[in-house]
Order: sequence, then C-alpha cells, then structure tokens
Amino acid sequence: MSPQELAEAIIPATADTRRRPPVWRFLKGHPQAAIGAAILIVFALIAILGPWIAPYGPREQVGPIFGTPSNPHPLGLDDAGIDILSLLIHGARITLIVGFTGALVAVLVGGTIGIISGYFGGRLDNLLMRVTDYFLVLPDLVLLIVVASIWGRSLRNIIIIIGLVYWTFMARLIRSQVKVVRERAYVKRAQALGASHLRIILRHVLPQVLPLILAQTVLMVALAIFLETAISFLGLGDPNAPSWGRMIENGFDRSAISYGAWWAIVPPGLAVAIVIMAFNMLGTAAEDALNPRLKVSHLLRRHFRMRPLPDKDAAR
Amino acid sequence: MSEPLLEIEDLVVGYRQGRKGVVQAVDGVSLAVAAGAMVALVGESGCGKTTTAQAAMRMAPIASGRIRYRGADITALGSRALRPIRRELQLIFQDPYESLDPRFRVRDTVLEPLQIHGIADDREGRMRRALERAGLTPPELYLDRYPHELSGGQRQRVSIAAALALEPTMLLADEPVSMLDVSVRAGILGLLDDLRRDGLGVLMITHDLSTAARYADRICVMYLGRIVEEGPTAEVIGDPRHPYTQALLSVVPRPDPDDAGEPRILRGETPNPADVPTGCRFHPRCPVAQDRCRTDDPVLAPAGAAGHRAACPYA
Amino acid sequence: MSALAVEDLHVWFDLPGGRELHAVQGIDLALEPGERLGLVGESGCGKTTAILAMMGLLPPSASVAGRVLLAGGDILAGGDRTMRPHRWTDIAMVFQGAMNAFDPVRTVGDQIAEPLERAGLAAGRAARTRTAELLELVGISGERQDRYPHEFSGGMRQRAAIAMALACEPKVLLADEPTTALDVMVQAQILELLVRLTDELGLAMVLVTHDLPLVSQACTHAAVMYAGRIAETGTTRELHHAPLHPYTRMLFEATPDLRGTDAVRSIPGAPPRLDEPTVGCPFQPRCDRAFGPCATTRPPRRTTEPGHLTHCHLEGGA
Ligand SMILES: Nc1ncnc2c1ncn2[C@@H]1O[C@H](COP(=O)(O)OP(=O)(O)OP(=O)(O)O)[C@@H](O)[C@H]1O
Ligand SMILES: Nc1ncnc2c1ncn2[C@@H]1O[C@H](COP(=O)(O)OP(=O)(O)OP(=O)(O)O)[C@@H](O)[C@H]1O
Ligand code: SF4
Ligand code: SF4
Ligand SMILES: [Mg+2]
Ligand SMILES: [Mg+2]
Repeated sequence: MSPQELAEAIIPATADTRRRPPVWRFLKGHPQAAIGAAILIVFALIAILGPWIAPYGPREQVGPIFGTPSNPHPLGLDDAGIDILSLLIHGARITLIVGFTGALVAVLVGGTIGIISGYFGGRLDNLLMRVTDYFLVLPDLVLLIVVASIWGRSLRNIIIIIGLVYWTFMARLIRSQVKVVRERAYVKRAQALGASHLRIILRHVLPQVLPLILAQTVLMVALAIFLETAISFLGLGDPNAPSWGRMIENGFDRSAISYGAWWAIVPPGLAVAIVIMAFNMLGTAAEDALNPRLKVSHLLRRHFRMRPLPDKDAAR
Repeated sequence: MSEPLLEIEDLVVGYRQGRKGVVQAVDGVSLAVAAGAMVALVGESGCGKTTTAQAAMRMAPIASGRIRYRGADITALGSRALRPIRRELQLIFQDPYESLDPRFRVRDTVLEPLQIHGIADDREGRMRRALERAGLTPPELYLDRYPHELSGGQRQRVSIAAALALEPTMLLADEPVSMLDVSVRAGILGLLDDLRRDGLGVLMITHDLSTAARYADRICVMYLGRIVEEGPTAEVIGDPRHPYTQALLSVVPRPDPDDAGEPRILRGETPNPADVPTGCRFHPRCPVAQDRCRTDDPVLAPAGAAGHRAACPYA
Repeated sequence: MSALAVEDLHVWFDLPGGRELHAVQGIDLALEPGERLGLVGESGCGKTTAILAMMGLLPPSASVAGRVLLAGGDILAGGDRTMRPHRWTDIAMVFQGAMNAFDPVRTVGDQIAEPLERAGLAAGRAARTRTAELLELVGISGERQDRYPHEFSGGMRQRAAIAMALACEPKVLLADEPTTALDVMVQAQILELLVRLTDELGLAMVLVTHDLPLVSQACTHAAVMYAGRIAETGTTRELHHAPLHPYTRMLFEATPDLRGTDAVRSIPGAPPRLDEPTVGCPFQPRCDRAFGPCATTRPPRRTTEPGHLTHCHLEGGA
C-alpha cells in the first residue's frame, strides 16, 4: 500500500465533509452532472442578465445586411442588420422560459394524472390510461400544426403544445412508480391508521417519487427546448419572440446560406445543442442516482470512514 | 369472558395472481377475540396469518365471510365510516423494516396517528409516553432519528409506540416482538398483558410458541389458509391433537445444548396456496396420513378437553 | 488459520449536533472453518453494526477502527477498496429484516442473480438455472423466481435472502437474525440447512440472534454482547452450564422454555446509553452480583479454559 493510499484510508474526514448536503455528494459522484449544471448556470445567468449584458437591442439595426463577424459584432449581423450576439443573448431568455414552462406544464399535468391513476388504480386508472393512450398515438407533428394554425402563433400556444405532447410520457412513468410505492407496507400502515388519500399522497407517496419527477423534469426541459426549436423551424413560432429556434428559421428563410452567412444559423444551432446536452447530462445522472430500478441498496458502494484505534487507556 | 370485540367469520381472502386466477391465501377462517383476551395465531410462514389480520382491518381483498367489530358488521363499510373504527383497532405491522416510512423521523411516525385522528391536546406528551412505554427511554435519544439509524428491535418498538399512541381497544399485533431480545420482549409483553387486564383485546400473530404459551389465553394454529387446531393455551401446548401442531411443538429449540429433544422436521416445500392438495391439506406432509386423508377434507371438531378443537379425524 | 477473525473492532455513528454514538466498542472474535458462532445480546447492543462493519457496508455517518481478517489478511484496512473484492464472494451476509434486501420493482430471481452476474460467475440462462437451484436449496420452488417480493410471504422472502447470500458460494456467512421472520418449522429446516452447509462446505458462520435456545441447538460457539462489548465468549456448552458473566446467566434465566416449569426472570433496568462514556462495568446497574470494584473499574479480560473469555470482576463463575 502506498503512503498516499494509507493516508487516504486512515485520515478521518473532517466534520464538514461528513455533513455536506446530498446535492454536493451527487455532483461529486457524477462529474457529467457537474459539467451539465455548470453550463446551465452560465446560460441561466445570460438569460437573466440578458437585457443588461446584450450590446444591442433585439430589433436594433446596427450595420449592413448579413454583415460579417468583425470587431464590434463578433458573431456578425443578420438579414436585418441586427447583431447576432445580442439576438442570441435575448433569445436565451425566451428559449429557456419556453423550455421550462413547457416542461412544467407537462410535469404538472402528467404528474397529477400519473399519481391519481397509480394511487387509486382500478376503473379510474383504466379510464385515465385510455385517455393517455389516445394522446400517445396522436402524431406530435399533426397535433402541433393543428393547434398552431387554429389558435395562432404565440409563445403561450407553444408552451401548451409542448405540454400536450409530453404529459403522456410523464403520466405513464409516474404511474408505474406510484403503483410500486402504493404497495409498500408504510403506505398500508397509513391506510390502516385511517389517513385520508390526500394525506397519504402528499406525505408518503409524493416524497418518494419526487426525486424521480425532478430528474425527469430536467430531461423534459431538454425535450421542450428541442420541440420549441422544431416548431419555430417549421415557421409556427411566435413571430414577435426571437427565440433561438426563430433565429435559425429566420436564417434559412432569408436564404442566409446562399449569402454564405453561416453566422446567422450556426451560433443559435450550437446554443440549442449545448443547452440540450447540458440538461441531458444533468438529467441522466440524476435519474441514475435516483431511479430505484437501477439500484440495489445492499450492493452499493459504501462510504464509511476509517479512523485510528482509540487510546487504550481512555477506552478501557 | 365478555362480549367478543372482534369476530372473524368464515373469512376467505383471494389475491389475484397474474392473469390466471386467484390465490386463496385465507380459506374459511373463523376466530373471535374478546375484550381483555389475548389470542395467539401461530402457523407456518405463508399460511395466511398476516392476510387474516389485514383482512380484519379491511386491508385485504375479502372474497367472502364477515368481520364484526363490537358486534357491528364492518365487512362492507366505506373508508369514511371505517375511520372511527381505525382509531380503536390498531395493527402492528410484521416487518419494521418496511412499515416505517424511511423519510419519517421517529417523532413523526409516532405523531402521525394522533394527527390523523385530530387529537390535539398534549400530543407531544402522548408521543413521549408511548415511546417510553415501548421501552425507548429516554425518548430524546430517538426522537430525531430516521428508521435507518435504529436497530431492528428499536424499529419494532417505534411501531409498537405508534400503535399504542392512540390507546386502542383492540390490537392486532403481527409478530410484534420478533426482533426483541428476551428482556425487552418480556417488558413489552408485560405491558400488553397489563393493557389486556384493563380491557384491551389482542390478536397476536407469532412464531414464538414459548411466548404464545406464556401470554395467550387461546392458541389458534393455522395451516395453509385454515385453522387446524384451536383451544385454551394449556390444552394446545400440553395436549396437541393435530399432527401439524405436534410437529410444530417438537421443533421448538431447547435452551440446553445437550438436550436436542426429538425434533420432527417436516420435509417438503412450504405449501403453495395456489395449489392446495385435495382432501386434508396437510396430507402430503403428514407423518400419520391414512388413505382417506387424500380425499376427505376434515373440519374442526371437538378433541380433548372442552373448547379444544382439531381438524383431524385421527386426532 | 481462522476463516474470520475480528480484532478490536470499533464503530462510531455521528449523531445530530456533533455528538457520537459508540455502537461497537472493541470486540474480538475468531472463527475456524466449519464453526458456527452465535452472537447474542440485547436489542441495540451493536450486533448488526458489528457484522455490517465486517462486510464493509456501513453508511457514511459511520467511522470504523480495528481489523477484520479473512484467512489471515486484513480486509478492513483500505475501507471499501479492500472490502469490495471479498464482499459476496468470500464473505456474505443475510440481512436483518427479510424485505429489506429486496427491491420491490424487480423479480426475486432477478435480484438473486445479481451478485452472480456482478461476480461474473453466471449470466443469462445459466444464472436463471443457478437461481432456481438456489431457491430450491432454501425450499422454494424454482419456478417462483419470476415473482415479485410482495407476492412472497415474509418467510419466503427471508429464505430468498439466504439464497442470495449463498449465491457466490462464500466461505464466511454472516446471518443477521435469519430466522426471526420464520415459523419454528421453517426455522428448523433453515438451521438444518445452515448446519449442513457449514459441515459440508467448511463454511464459517456468524449467527446473530436474540434467541438463546436457537444458539444452543445450532451453534458450536457463542459470544454474548452487551452495550457494544463482548461480555463472554466460549462454547455453547460452557455458556449454558458454566457461565462466567452474570449477564449470560441472567439471559438464560430470562428465556422462556416451552417445557420448563421455571418462571422466567426478566432483567430489570435498561442498557446504558451508547452516546456517553461509561465508567466501570457497563452492566453494573443491572447486575445481581455487582460488588466493590464494579462501579469504578473496567472489568479485565479473564479466561478459565482456552477460548472461554469474559470481561467481569467475578472470579469463579457467575
Ligand atoms: N399482495 C399479495 N399478492 C399476492 N399474493 C400474496 C399477497 N400477499 C400475500 N400473498 C400470498 O398469500 C399467502 C399468505 O401470505 P401471508 O403474508 O398472509 O402469510 P403469513 O402467514 O403472514 O406468513 P409469514 O409468517 O411468513 O409472515 C402467501 O402464499 C403469499 O405468497
Ligand atoms: N446509522 C445509525 N446512526 C446512528 N445510530 C445508529 C445507526 N445505526 C445503528 N445505530 C445505533 O447503534 C446501536 C447498535 O445498533 P445495532 O443495529 O447494531 O443493534 P443490534 O444489536 O443489531 O440490535 P437489534 O437486535 O435490535 O437488531 C443502537 O443503539 C442503534 O440505535
Ligand atoms: S386428516 Fe389425515 S393427513 Fe390430515 S392431519 Fe389428520 S391424519 Fe394427517
Ligand atoms: S464486573 Fe461486576 S457488575 Fe460487571 S458483570 Fe461482573 S459482577 Fe456484574
Ligand atoms: Mg406474516
Ligand atoms: Mg440488529
């Protein structure tokens, strides 16, 4: 054993590392989650501080059409002479908001239905799952074209579409977890005590499935951003909200490619890809850490500490 | 003896298994527990003891039969109507590793029944007294711990404390002391014995025949969903009639390492309720089975002293 | 060479508020192959903690000191790193609480096969066959491997847990109350099985239980623990017929015997708190033979026969 290994084995961890919150331990044990989280923090800051850090406004013409990247405009200009970097910064806010709220709608609707369905079971479960199946077989694309053309092109409608497309997935997943938790003896014990369904759901079932819901929400945001980009790319996005998807669509629409203006398309495309990747890294790591299916507690690695033997005289 | 508190009559419980069909985990069990009595339910694991107790709490799918509490039929009551009964009828779950919510501290687990039944006065005091009565002294040492920070016996005592917090009139105790050592066990059973003297009815499920012999008034022996022998404790222990009871008693380990006794260990797999043998359900493992046993299904019939019954014509 | 030896093992748990609970306070044990040691003691005295330490399965709030020797080599020294290669393949454990070891969303067979697959001993069809064999070994039909844990009775899950521990054919088996969830008949079958396995395979076994008659019938040796320490170790005969420590004697006296006529005598009082240091003999407040030095001086380790050890001031037996 090398001296270093020996030291590692013997030196007792200091008190504060023992009491570190689980989030910290999770990030430490899953480097890809830490990277994902770091990227997201950067983008979140950009989105929040957007109006203050963007050099120009999102509608402000500051130079020639498809001006090439140069000193005051490192990412060039678009078809209306607007600074791409500024657009990108303003778009971060819209894209992330749509992603988050879309995912939230899906999680709230899907989660509620999943919990009710899984917890009560029986006929209610059958009914709800039948409804879910209908939504599941509806082709996403058709759904979104229909909704966008009937209700019009607005951010709110895009959020609703995202919710409509993804809640079924969430509902099924949560339902299957809740069905397992419902059979646990401690839930039975609460029932035997005469606890109301609401109480059992809120105090015993939800805390057990919440980590999974959180992990899935993170993954869902990635999907929502992707869907928003796709919707915008199809020309169904909100014309007044310059999201990254709208930027890409705009670039193609105004034949940026034939102008050779790659800078109108690549930066927003890259931004979408990086953010989706970051959400995925964080989400899969969280899922891996939290999904009971993937873990058998007694086979897990343990992190107990070694310490030197106590002083004989003190101990005996 | 007074009026029966809890009566179970001809109970049949079927669990659905796969798409194929139903497993009859309990198949025609009748028993009654009076106020101030302790009835022990013993039998092979998987024979349906837990299912019987859970059905009495209306927590298992009852296929037929009646459950009566204080004379009133509760077999078909809705959950709202059951609530007041669930305050008086408490179940201590078999497995303290599963039946304590891993996210609840000891404090919250014991407080929960009081919250559910809206008992507001002196909650904290009631909770502490319940823990002390269950032998977790001083309570402060345990209040803020999670179940995984307790030993097996300590978890079991938390379960017991939670059940006693509501001061029930009828207790269904499913292996309440299996993880406790002899001295703590004696303390808990002594407590139940005292409560029983004050009118508590106890149905105690246990594997420990020595405990049953010491504390119960009556013993019911179950085998594969049925009661095969029942009677006053001294009768069942001193003069067992059913061959299964006899075998069961013979394998209780003895404290002296030099005295092994003559254990009659039954061979064969634990019988499967999905596949009940014809005739006497014990016949494939019965050391004294006769030809008729393969076809005739015996019923409980008086055997030995008064109140002692066994389901074996050769008893 | 001992199959398993434990030297001066200590375990502490962090408690909220920076306090500590000294759950295991320096225990020594040694087991030869084929030996069965019953580890008995009051609830909360540290039995489970001690064997979890031997398996290296303690949680992050625990710290450990001492040595755990497997066939002569210390496997505890490097913490999890040195434990992992031996866990389940050389030293295995049956957990206290049958259901505890099983994941409710996976079939029982799937979970029994897991240690096999991890150790690379069998996979796929071979693992299924082996799983069926293991289940049959503990008296459950092999076809039942596709069932979920909640479809098993408590006793069946416990037997499945034993099957899982035996999957990789370990040389040392630590069984934590393996039969508490079982009826006496199945208990007798399981003990017969464990005795057979130790005799035939030379398996060394530690059987944690609070049931003294069980130890008397199934074990060759016994260790009595009290408040995190060993009160007395020896053969089961020595402990039953000639106990050296009053706690051992009082435990036997407190054990109800189905056939016996003697009234049981329970042990008054409660074990000491483990989060505060004790002075003198930890059993002193409850001991019926306590005398002069007991309250102030830690009892020394004494031995009468080879292998029969006690920590008690009394000379000449309890
Ligand atoms: N939820 C369930 N679904 C399907 N089968 C079940 C369910 N619960 C129990 N069973 C089956 O019913 C039978 C009786 O189980 P029960 O738990 O009542 O036995 P028990 O007598 O309490 O056994 P033990 O002493 O081992 O706890 C067993 O064969 C078991 O497999
Ligand atoms: N994770 C933990 N954190 C704090 N204290 C703990 C933890 N685990 C166990 N303890 C305490 O350590 C002591 C020893 O516990 P252990 O589980 O080893 O007891 P045991 O002898 O196995 O008892 P039982 O027979 O009841 O299972 C107990 O007082 C328990 O409360
Ligand atoms: S009826 Fe026959 S098989 Fe059944 S217990 Fe009696 S002798 Fe045995
Ligand atoms: S040292 Fe004294 S108090 Fe302790 S067990 Fe021996 S006699 Fe009793
Ligand atoms: Mg049971
Ligand atoms: Mg234990």
